[in-house]
Amino acid sequence: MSECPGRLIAWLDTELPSEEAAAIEQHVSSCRMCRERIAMYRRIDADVRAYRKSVMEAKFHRRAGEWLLASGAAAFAAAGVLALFTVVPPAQVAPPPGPAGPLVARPPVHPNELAGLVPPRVQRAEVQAVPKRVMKPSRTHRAASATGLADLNWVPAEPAIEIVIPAEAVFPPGAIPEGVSFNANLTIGADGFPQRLRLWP
Amino acid sequence: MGSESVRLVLPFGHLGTGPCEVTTLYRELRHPLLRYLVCLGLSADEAQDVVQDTFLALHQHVTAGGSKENVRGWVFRVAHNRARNRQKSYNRRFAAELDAEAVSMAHEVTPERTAIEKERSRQLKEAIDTLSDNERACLLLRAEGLRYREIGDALDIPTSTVSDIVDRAIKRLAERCHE
Repeated sequence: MSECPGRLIAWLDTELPSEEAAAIEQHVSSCRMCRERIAMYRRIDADVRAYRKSVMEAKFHRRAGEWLLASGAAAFAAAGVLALFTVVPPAQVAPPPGPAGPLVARPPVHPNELAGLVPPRVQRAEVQAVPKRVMKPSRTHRAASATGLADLNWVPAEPAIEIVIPAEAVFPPGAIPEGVSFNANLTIGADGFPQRLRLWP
Repeated sequence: MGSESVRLVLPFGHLGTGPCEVTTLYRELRHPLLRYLVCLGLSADEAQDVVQDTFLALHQHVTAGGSKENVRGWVFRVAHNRARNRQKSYNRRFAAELDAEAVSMAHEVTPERTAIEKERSRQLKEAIDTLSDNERACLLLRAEGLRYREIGDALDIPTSTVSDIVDRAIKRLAERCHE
C-alpha cells in the first residue's frame, strides 16, 4: 500500500473500480497499518467538517447581527407595499415607454431572478435606455436574502411571479423621475398566501 | 381581476428548458459553493457575489447550448477561478484577518466550547493555511461531496492526481493537529 498512498483514500471515497476496491478491502482487513491510516482519514474528515461549520456560522451569523436593522427596514417597506396591494385597488398599468416595449415582450426572465435569489443584472443591462440609476445589489437587498444560516437553506416556492409597476402607480406625481419602474418579486406559497415580497428599482 | 388589474409576467414557458436545470443546480449547489468559498478565505459578501456570478455564467452557458457534462465540476471551477481572481486583487492579509475573526466569533457564539476544542480549531485553521492551494482546494472540494473527476475538472488537474493530493493534505493536517 505504501507504493501508492492515494489508493487507500480513493478506496475510502469509493473512487476505485470494483475489482481494485475488492482487493484493497481484502488487504485492509489484514493490515493494521492501513486500518490506522483509515482511522486518521476519518479523524481529519471530522475535523474539517467542524472547521467548515464554524467558518460558516461565524461569517453569516456575524452579518446577521449587523444587518438586522437594514433587513427590518426592508421588510417594513415591503410590507407597506404589500399592504398597498391589498388595501388600494390596483390602478391601470400602462406598459413603460421606450425600447422595452410592452410587458409581455420583455426578454426571458431567469426563474432564479424571479425568486430574487439572483439579482437581475441581465435585465438591468436590457433596460439601460430608460434613464435611471443602475444599482448593484445593495446590502439591504442581500440582507433580505441572507441574514443567517436559515436563509441559506430557504428554497423559493414555485412558481414565482414578477410584477413590474410604473413608479407613478405607487408614488405621488413628480416624486420619482419619469420612466422609473420598480420590480417586485412576489413568491406565493402552497397555501396561496404571499410568502416573500422584494422590491428594487 | 377587472380591467384595472395589474398585468403580470408569468414566464412559465421558460421553466421547461435550460433555466430549469440551472434552478435545480442552484438549489443543490448554492450552499456547498458558499461554504467552499468562505473556507477558501472569501468574506460572506464576496462568496455570495461569486455564487451569483457563477450561476449567471451557468445560465448563459446552458442557454447558449454549452456542454452539460460534469456540470458540478464546471460550476466549482468557475467559482474557484473567480474566487482566486478576487483573492489576487485583494490584500491577502485582510482575508486572513477575516478568517481569524471568523474562528474567534465562532467561539464567542458557543461559549460553552472547551479550551481543548478551541485549541483544536486554531490548530486546524493554521494547518489548513499551510497547505498548498491545490491541497486546500482538493480537501475542501472533497468535503463538499465532489467526485475526483469533478475535483480534477474544477481545478484543471489530472483526475489521477487528486487522490495523492488529498492523501498528502490529510497527512499534513494530521501531523500538525495530532502530533
